[in-house]
Amino acid sequence: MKKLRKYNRNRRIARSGTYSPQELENLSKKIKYTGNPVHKRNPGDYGLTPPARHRKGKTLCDTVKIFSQEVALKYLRVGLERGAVSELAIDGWPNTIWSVTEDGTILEAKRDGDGTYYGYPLLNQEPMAVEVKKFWSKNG
Amino acid sequence: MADLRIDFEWLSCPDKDPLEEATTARLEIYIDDFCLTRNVNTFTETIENSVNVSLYPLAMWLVSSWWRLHYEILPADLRMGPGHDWRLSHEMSAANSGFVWPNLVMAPPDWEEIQIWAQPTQEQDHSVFYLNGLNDSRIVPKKNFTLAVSSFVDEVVTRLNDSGLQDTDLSQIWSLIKEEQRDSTTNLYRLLEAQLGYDPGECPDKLIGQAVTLEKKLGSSFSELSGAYAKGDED
Repeated sequence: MKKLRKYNRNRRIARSGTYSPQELENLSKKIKYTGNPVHKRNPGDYGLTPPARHRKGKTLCDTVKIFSQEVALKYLRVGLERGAVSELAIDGWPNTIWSVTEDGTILEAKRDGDGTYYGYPLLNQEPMAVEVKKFWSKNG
Repeated sequence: MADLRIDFEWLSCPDKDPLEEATTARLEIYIDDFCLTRNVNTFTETIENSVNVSLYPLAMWLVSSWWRLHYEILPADLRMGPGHDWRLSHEMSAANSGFVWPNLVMAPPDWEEIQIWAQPTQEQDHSVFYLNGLNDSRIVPKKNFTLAVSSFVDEVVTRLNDSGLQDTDLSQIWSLIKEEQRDSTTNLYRLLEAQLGYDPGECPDKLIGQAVTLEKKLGSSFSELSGAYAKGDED
């Protein structure tokens, strides 16, 4: 029986121990945030081209008031260090990383290159948001 | 019985992801004449029936959830609400990818039908929020549901091919589903796996073996019982 279901592995948080603390720390040192203008009204300090191109239908980084590279990168690193990463990985990099803001909003970041990611907030009602919240409180 | 309709019109809109860019469209979803995508565009403060989204993540969600969407009923014990795995396969918002999707839940109440629930979006600070919910769930004949979803996925795959994006994850999974449906043994295997709450290929061999044996003895009665024995969420 063939097994070809990459998609669902992208929607599941990797089991504890998939990455060693040392591996997560190494990834955290190398990771970069790129950003995507379609999720932004405020261009922030990302240096994107175009700086912002908010699009109907997309969730917005503005709702969580993240306007700087430094803050976006901080959330990526915190997510990595806690192991909030997808089962699916490409070239050693998890395809998706999740993080949680101080006010409890769930952020999701997608890999768009070798160690580079862009992110966006999830709606609270989304199944993945509920799962990440659960993971976060267990692994705090 | 109601009718499900998925209408769309392709748009040209730059995106970081070529698959999402090629499949950007103005999407409208209807149950009979009731628009489930009616939304407030928070940029223009206007009300519209269509929403601009990429159809690739939606098509990926539909094919990845195909068997469970068609055959996995609501869990028998709903005191804690359905688990994460169930929600990923039955709630459209799981299509995610940074889009705001309508809050639709779809699951079969029995062998012949798909039940659809809809609720307005609670959060109103993103680019759109959806206005329409259904007071009562609607029942769509499973044949109509399958036809609407299959046509939708076929059109997304064609669009990708026409854009020079062949052999995508979507087209591979879609071809595999069609292949599995043509083979009666695999079709039964997938269907039983879904009824037991597993994604394709993830049900333990022993359990699926027992399910095949029981299905042969009990026929459709097995389907009525299987939901009660379906896998719960693992913590």
